[in-house]
Amino acid sequence: MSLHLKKNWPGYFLAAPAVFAILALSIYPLFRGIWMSFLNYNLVRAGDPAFNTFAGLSNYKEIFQDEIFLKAIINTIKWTILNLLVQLTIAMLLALVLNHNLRGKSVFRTLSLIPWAVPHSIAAMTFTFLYNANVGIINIIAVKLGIFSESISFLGNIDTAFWSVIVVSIWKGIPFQMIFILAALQGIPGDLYESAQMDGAGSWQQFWHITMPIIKQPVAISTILNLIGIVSCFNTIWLMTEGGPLYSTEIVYTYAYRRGFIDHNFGTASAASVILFLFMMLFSMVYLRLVRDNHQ
Amino acid sequence: MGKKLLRLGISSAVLAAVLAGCGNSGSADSATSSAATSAPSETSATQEASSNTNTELTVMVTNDWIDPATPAGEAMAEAIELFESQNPGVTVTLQGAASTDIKESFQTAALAGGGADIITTDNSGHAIDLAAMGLLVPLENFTTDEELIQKYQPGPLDSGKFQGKYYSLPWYMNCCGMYYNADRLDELGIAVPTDWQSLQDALKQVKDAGYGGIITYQSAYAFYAFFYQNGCKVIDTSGEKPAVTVNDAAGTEAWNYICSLIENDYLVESFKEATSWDKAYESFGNGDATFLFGGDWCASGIQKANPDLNFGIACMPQGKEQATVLGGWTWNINANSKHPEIAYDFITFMCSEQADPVLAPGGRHSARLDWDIQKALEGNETLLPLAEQFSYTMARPAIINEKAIDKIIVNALLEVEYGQQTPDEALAELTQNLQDNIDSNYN
Amino acid sequence: MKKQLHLYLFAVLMVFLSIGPFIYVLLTALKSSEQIYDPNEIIPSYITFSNFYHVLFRSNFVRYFCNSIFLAVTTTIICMFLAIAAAYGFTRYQIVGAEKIKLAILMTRMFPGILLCIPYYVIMRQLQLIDSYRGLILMYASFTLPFAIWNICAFFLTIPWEMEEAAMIDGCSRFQAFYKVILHVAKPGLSVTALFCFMTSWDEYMYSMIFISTTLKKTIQVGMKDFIGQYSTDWGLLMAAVVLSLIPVLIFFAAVQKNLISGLSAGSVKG
Repeated sequence: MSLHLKKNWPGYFLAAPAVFAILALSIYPLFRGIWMSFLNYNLVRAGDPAFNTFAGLSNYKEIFQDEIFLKAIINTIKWTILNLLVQLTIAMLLALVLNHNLRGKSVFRTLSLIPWAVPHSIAAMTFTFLYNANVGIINIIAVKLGIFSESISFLGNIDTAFWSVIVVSIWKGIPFQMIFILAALQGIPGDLYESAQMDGAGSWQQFWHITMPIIKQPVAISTILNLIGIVSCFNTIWLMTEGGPLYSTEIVYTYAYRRGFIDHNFGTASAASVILFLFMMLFSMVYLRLVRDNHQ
Repeated sequence: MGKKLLRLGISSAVLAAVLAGCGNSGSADSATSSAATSAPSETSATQEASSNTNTELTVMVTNDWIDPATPAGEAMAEAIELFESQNPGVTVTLQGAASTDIKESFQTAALAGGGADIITTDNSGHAIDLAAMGLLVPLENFTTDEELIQKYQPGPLDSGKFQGKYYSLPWYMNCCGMYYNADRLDELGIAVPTDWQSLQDALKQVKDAGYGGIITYQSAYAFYAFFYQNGCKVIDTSGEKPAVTVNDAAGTEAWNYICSLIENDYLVESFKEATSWDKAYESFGNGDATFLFGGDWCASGIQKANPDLNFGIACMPQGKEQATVLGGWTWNINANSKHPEIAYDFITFMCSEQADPVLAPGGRHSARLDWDIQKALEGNETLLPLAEQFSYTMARPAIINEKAIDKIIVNALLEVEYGQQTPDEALAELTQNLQDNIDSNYN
Repeated sequence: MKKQLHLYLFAVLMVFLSIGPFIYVLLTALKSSEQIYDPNEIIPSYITFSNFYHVLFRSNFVRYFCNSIFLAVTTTIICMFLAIAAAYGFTRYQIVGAEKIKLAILMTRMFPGILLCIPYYVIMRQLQLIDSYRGLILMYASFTLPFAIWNICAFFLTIPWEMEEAAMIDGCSRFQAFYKVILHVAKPGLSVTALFCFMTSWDEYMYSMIFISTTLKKTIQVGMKDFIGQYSTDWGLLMAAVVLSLIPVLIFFAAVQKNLISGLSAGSVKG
């Protein structure tokens, strides 16, 4: 046995069960999913001799010639960046505030987690109600205050639907980010701040030089997890607008679903999924590299 | 290296043991309360040698039929009991799914080689998709086309016809009619519209008086009726390959009529967001819209949204001919089923007089030709105008990916609604998109 | 106190925005069906508890609720157990290609899950785990584990190795040092990770919808769909079910946030 193994065998032993459990169950579906993007896999042509044969890159060609897919990519980028930035900013502020020794702190903390506890489908339905053109509270208040002369359908108009849906996704996503930041903030010894204050450091300096370096790593991880959640935020969009009106809320995930379960073409659906997969992988790798380099 | 592998093996065994241990407690827990049911994988193993003794049929239906505490669920349970007593040795197990999930759930299981023996589907093309995927057993294995045609209404029967074969046994049917706000029509002195012209006149009057016009579910559903009334099939599925006819003379005329409704703002604002029927009831119930196009299920929805609303029901306004569009559900048999013959016995039973009590609680109508509408609607005559349309009710095109086709049509309407395209441009693009979709799914 | 006023204002505002839509859910649950679409009854003039009564005593809700609790708690326990072990292995030993392994397991979560249900179904059928909780727990654990491992690793990394060493010099065995130092110091990170596992398995819809076919085995998220019909939704019942379903989650939240105080931190930061 090599020296390395002798010293580190418990590490392998401890990590193996989890890694094995994940890979054993996920590898086949994952590779199957990727492989399908290179096949002629239009389920409703199951009788066709070409079905399930190698298709090369034709599925990719097809989706990249599809205007809706290109629109979905742009929407996905907009959707991801907006969601991430807004969620991260608000969550950071909220976590910093709730880390103070406020009276009723635990009540604030618990209540601010509620959006996370509401299931996606219910959040979507509730907001659909709030946005309703006739009986939605937002329209009623806005009309009473004279902001609009006539109530409008937030989810039914091209220029408002995207924003209306993203609000829900942000609302739902903040608590997750917040609680992870809050947990990370606990790793900072309180005396660090005291000595910094004695050195006369302002709160912005304290945040930048003491808080950030310590919480950066955990926050980076939670941001990546959040990213995966944001990009796969399928339920919210589908239940509120089904990607419409006129694909103005279509993201790559809903596009893949549409190709797979409405057009029944799992080949192109998988191709769209692979694009999304690559997008997330690239983002995560670059992001982790950035965080790590800064750390050293 | 070998030792490393060994360790991997040991640890995975540990993991498996952990998982198996907890899983056992889980299944024991559920076994106590649901002893009557067992997993499909287990049943298939035990059934191989059996003929009619100890056959288990799994039947997938929507959640409406599951709970024995509800009238529909109770009637269903009784019908199953009757079937089981007539077929000793057969047990029928119901599996429930939400109506939005049932097709997806079945499709996934069946593509992986499993799934319930029998599945009910919406007759808006779901069976066609499943048949095209090779997941359903054609009914020619059990019966002849003539027998089916003699027994069932043509619309529902055709909704399950793919490449010349019937796949679905029609269960119950409904059709699209016109609901109107009776008080408002009285107030404005408008007679209930009966044809395209009078509908347009009525809408103008309603609009001039400051009220909203039409609401319907955001789907091509109600709009098919206008094409059918003008003698246009939208997509002709009678030949080998479906042909787009939406832009023929009759189709263009119908399209322009629909677009004139849109361009005159006769569809209410809520239509843009009406991706569920609830929003349609809400808009009509609150007096926002004066007319609602929908099937018999809308009556209870409207009543729930506003119990005080005084509304009436009429048949769809007439074009060149009378026509409306079909809804309802059908029975189908899974191609993976080990007992297709018994499954067929069960679905014929469910569509026969013996199972009629199952349809009574929801006021549903069997799709059999010998079904007595008058008798079924005793005490509920307001719904009669809808049922009277059955003889000229037409199914949506029996085409692969009907839902995608529906979306294409809706999007064309929305392009006009949002003023992004003129009706002519939208129709040209619609024709092209429909053609492209068909080309990608047919040879 | 005065200096903290703006903090209070911000906290109150955020809490209001967080629970505003939820208050709407609660109000809807207390309405009768004709009030729900009535614009004059947004704040109901009278309330009814019949929705709650129906959900609790006239539907399978309680059954679904227990099923989901069982699933979520079991998944969380298994997942935490495996993830803590793995994270300790990854952070406290040198494993060849650790970063690559970690990236690989994270990547398994980046492919849209909705398209993988057929291959998963094939696997589960081979293992004869269709319609069984064993199958679901196995899948949920494999879904949450990558996240849990990454999270816990991140938190373990913030704990200096010296703290353990000090404990071992004091006579602790390696396990005792892990138990007393690491688990203690990383408590906030561990509890939010546990919360994450719990929430993920509690919230999961698609796989439980496809893989569980027996009515009484349904999970709460699938079970709530009983109130949503093809042509109409029973909003009052649905919202009552949602309110009731939040109870265990809120209890879990309260427990987690109590654990958000680490041995490291002095507990508070002055602003």
